[in-house]
Amino acid sequence: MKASRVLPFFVFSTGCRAAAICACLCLLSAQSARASERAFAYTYQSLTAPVGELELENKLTWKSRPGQIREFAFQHELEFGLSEKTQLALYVANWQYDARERGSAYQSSGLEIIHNFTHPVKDLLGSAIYGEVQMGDGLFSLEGKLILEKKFGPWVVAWNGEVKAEWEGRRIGDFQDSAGELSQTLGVSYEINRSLAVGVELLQEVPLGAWHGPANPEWYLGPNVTVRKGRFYATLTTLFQSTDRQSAPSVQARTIVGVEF
Amino acid sequence: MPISSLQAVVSVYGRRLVCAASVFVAALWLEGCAGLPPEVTPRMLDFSARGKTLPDLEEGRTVFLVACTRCHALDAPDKFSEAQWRRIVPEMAESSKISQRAEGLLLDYLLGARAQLLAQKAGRDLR
Repeated sequence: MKASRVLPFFVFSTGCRAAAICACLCLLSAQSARASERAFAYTYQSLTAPVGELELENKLTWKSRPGQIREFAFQHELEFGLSEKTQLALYVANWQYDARERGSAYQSSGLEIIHNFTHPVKDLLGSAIYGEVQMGDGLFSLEGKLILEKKFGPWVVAWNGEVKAEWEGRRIGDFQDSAGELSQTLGVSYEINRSLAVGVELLQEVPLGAWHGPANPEWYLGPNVTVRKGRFYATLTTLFQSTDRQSAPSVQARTIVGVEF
Repeated sequence: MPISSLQAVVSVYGRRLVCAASVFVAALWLEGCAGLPPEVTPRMLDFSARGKTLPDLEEGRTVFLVACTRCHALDAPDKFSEAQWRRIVPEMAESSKISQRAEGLLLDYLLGARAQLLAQKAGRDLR
């Protein structure tokens, strides 16, 4: 119940929540689309922002672990179209709220770059590479992704393969612990109309610990919905663990709300 | 309970689900390739503004494929009337930040492709 005081939305009954979400979707689906939105919350797509476009993305990831442990991670990101095929993003602040301790803490800031190689409609297969660097309070991480995507009319299918390395320590140059993770995501989305798309996402995470070897993979699967209106868009994915790893989150959800300028 | 049900479904039907998904994606691929907007033909020049060339229309088709799909699925050129396209294209061009030249080429291609598709549907020979 502690978390409910923080986010009252979670205390509503399932029926109320479903009705509220349906009402919002119906309202938004009557409008035309303009935002160059993301179709998925976990899976990146291969196309980059148009040259000169600036977009603000706010990301919230919620994870529920066994024992009623709930985590909320926030990310505020500014994206900028550098060229026809390259996009740069600045992670202004990543921070986390711990529902158990009822406190929040700054984690890191960073930079992200995406370079597109091929187009998901014009070419046989859309492709892009993604690089990210993050630095924070005793934290340094590097992340790389290969992004593949294909658009078939109203259908979008995208796949990401990702490798991540993370170092922790008291200060830069004195990092003690390192860990890695391999992961892949697959997203399939169907555009019902200009303002509403629904789909599913699949996530596989393979924690590498201290690089001693791969641990057992965790699989997650769940539905996805994206709504858009004018310069705004929002996408929400809820993933349920389909494996049986007690140490990993049983449910996780991510929502991204974006606005372009 | 939904999580344990999901785990059970994945463990029992995992391989079948992967096979079904592969067939689904392959079907989409074929459908997607077939559903691309019409290729540029010399006939389209009859319906475009004076002075336009085939490379101009090709460029307009590329703008249609690249800029429009950034935000949404493509509509068939004959879905809207000429007047509607003349209203829609400038509106969309603004939000997708394409140049005025690209906007003009896009409109030329759409009107040319639209006229050709309508003529084909009507069973008329354009020449």
